[in-house]
Amino acid sequence: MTETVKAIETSGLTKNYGKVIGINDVSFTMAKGEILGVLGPSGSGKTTLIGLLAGIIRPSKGSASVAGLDVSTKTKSLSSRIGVVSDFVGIYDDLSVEGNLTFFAKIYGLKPSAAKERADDVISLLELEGNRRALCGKLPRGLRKRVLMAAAIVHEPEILLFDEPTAELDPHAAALVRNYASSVAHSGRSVVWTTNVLGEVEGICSRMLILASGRIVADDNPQRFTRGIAGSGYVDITVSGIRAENIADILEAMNISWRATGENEIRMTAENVSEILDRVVTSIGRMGGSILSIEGKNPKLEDAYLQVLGEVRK
Amino acid sequence: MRLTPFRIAKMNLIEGYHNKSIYYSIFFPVIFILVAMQLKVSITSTLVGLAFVFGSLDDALLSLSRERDSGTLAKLFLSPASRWSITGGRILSSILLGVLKATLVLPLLIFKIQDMEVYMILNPFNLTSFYIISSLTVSLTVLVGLTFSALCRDSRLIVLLASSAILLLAVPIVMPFSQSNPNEDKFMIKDYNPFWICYESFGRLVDITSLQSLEHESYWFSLLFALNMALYLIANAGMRRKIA
Repeated sequence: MTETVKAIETSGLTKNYGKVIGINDVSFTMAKGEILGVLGPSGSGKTTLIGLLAGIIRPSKGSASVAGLDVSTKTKSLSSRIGVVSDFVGIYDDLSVEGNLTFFAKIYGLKPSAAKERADDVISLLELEGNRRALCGKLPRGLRKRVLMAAAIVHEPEILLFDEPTAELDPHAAALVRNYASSVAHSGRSVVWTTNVLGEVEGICSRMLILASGRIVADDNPQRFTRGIAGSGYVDITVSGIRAENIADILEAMNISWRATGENEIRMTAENVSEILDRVVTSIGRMGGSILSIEGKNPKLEDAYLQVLGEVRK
Repeated sequence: MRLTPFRIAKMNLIEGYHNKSIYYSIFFPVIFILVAMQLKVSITSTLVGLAFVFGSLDDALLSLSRERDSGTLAKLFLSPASRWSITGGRILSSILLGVLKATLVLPLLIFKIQDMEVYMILNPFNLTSFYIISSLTVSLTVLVGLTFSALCRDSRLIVLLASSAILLLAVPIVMPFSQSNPNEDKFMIKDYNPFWICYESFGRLVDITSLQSLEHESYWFSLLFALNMALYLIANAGMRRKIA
């Protein structure tokens, strides 16, 4: 039997800055090929967690291993296996985009020809061709962030530690980065993705942690977490031409739970109402009924997230 | 062969070229000596040494804190580059600039200049010695700055502490125990001030009153080299703390 090395494993990880708590007793494991979203309000410890996993911040207590390597003792071996995007890392402002990428590729041990080739690849991947020779200090913040991203992936790391990677990016560039993260996960590599954009977590993360005051307060799949906290979604349908009971027959045939809220009104509840709505509407039409109104509500991660944080504050 | 320190040194030089600080570094010593000539200030070995010290202030006081503030130091720490390479690359670029500065200053010192107490006998040994002493003076200045940069976190504090240390150690007016020694045999702390050793070594080359071979100065060279190494070790040891 082969032993599967987890991408990341932490146990009781704690970092204090004097009396201020960075993160407190954080324990989790992360499998290869996973995109782990880390949510939390400002000051909740997201960046500290990235710094600890990168081995650039030393833990006060506890341990963490990334790619099977202890982050406190194996920092050099770890460095070529991780790529970090965060506010605490930067690029040379007085060098061109290409100069920065080639330099960092060489520092990661690539031969000059391979470094050039790899720099070309990431320039193309993040659509930086038009700014290849521009000095990084002269670039707008969004483009600069893209170069920072390129510098983090130029050595093809197996674990990516992305601290708010799409902050300051335009929607197109943000989509590029999200697509890249998804492709990385499909190839069996792993991504830790801290963000304040809840939609990103719903869109690309297979799992999420919520940090509050340095502690993990939720660890779940985003959709399951949302349903668990905010409940299932519902749709209210008002019909004419047929009675509510007639619709009930259709819904029962589809195994959808429902209740009548009026003579011609019915509320149906389902885990993902948008997926079944088309079928319901078609069936009502076939029975000769017409729809006067549809009002629905899908459970939102935002609702569940705010609810959990509200409970923590209490 | 590990090329990382050379790559980091090259990066520092390119960066200096783009942000123009390299011009200050290269041309300051020449301008300093030329101004002294215009003012008919006696060009002593101390003045030559000071030209190299002041010409290295940008590298000494600002380069590392600038790199830390921009996050590139953290980026280097996240790479497989060792601390030795990171500090070594920085010193290497300063030494390369030191050689360039020495080349520009040398023509001014080769021939006796009217009313100046400068004279340099041109022979291969003296030339080599001049380049070595220039490089050691520059690296010493940069290492004092790097040591404070490695040990302190706040950029302003680094500039204050490092410039104070360089001022106290390198400038003869404030240099502790800088008065001449009435009894040559008596132990004087100033004799162990590395900057003083640099000036004394320059004196063997350029002071007309003390022209003599440096062949008997190997002890001082060794001491100077050892002091450079000690500062290099301290800077390396303190470097990690800045991030963690």
